[in-house]
Amino acid sequence: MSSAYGDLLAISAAGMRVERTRLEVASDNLANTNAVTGRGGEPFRPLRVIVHADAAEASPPADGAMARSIDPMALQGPSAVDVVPVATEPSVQYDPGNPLADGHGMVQVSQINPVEEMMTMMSAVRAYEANVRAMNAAKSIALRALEIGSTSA
Amino acid sequence: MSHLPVFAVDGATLRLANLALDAYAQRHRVISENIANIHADDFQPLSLNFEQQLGALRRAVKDGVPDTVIDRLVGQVHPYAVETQSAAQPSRPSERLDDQMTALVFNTLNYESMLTAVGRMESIYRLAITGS
Repeated sequence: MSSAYGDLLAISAAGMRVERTRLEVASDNLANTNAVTGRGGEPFRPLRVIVHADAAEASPPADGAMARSIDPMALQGPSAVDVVPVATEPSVQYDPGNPLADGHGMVQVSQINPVEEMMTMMSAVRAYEANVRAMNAAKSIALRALEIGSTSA
Repeated sequence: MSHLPVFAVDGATLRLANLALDAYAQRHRVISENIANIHADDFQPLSLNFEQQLGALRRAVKDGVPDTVIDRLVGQVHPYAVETQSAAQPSRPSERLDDQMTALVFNTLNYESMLTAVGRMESIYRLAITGS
């Protein structure tokens, strides 16, 4: 039956983990704004978090049914996250005083879009909050269920 | 004797309440899943198919059929989750989140009110036994 509240909390916990990862990656990107590398070195590229939905949903429809029926008890939250670098080219700038500069005084500077990172942080924080609320609602449901049969209903 | 209201509390009514409580707990699971997957690219929001299955049950209750029939109909109800939207029209995460939060609050309230109803049924039952 649906008394397994432990893994009900696990769904929200998985969601919180995903949002925390997005927040950390956005912070990392911001922290590496203007990171300088020498020519030919591997520059810092902004990272993106790719969230994969629950494995229970990714499975194809059974015997050609239009709408798949999914057992609610099988839901487990997002299954995995990938952190992948975005293929942006660093800008080449003239900075002859930099010890990393090449013979022509050029260095590579990483291209980070601070607006995009701030938007990611904002949405990650809000989504984290939503997961916390879902978890609190699960807690209150579980606690109220314990009151079944108590005199003050 | 089995048609006295007090004894009806013991049978199909309580079973119906139990069914609804289970369904609301499962709906909570579905909503949590939707919120947790808000930033998953390949995710379609889910909804719980439960009220749609209650048609026969509602008619049976209205016609006043015996509790045994209602018990059998209750046994036939199996809530399951379905994807709500077609892949052709994916909605933005921000649009999904507020809907899910509304559903979350609504579902929690439903659960609470159903529990209160169960509590009231229980006090009627206790009253029948103790008489005070």
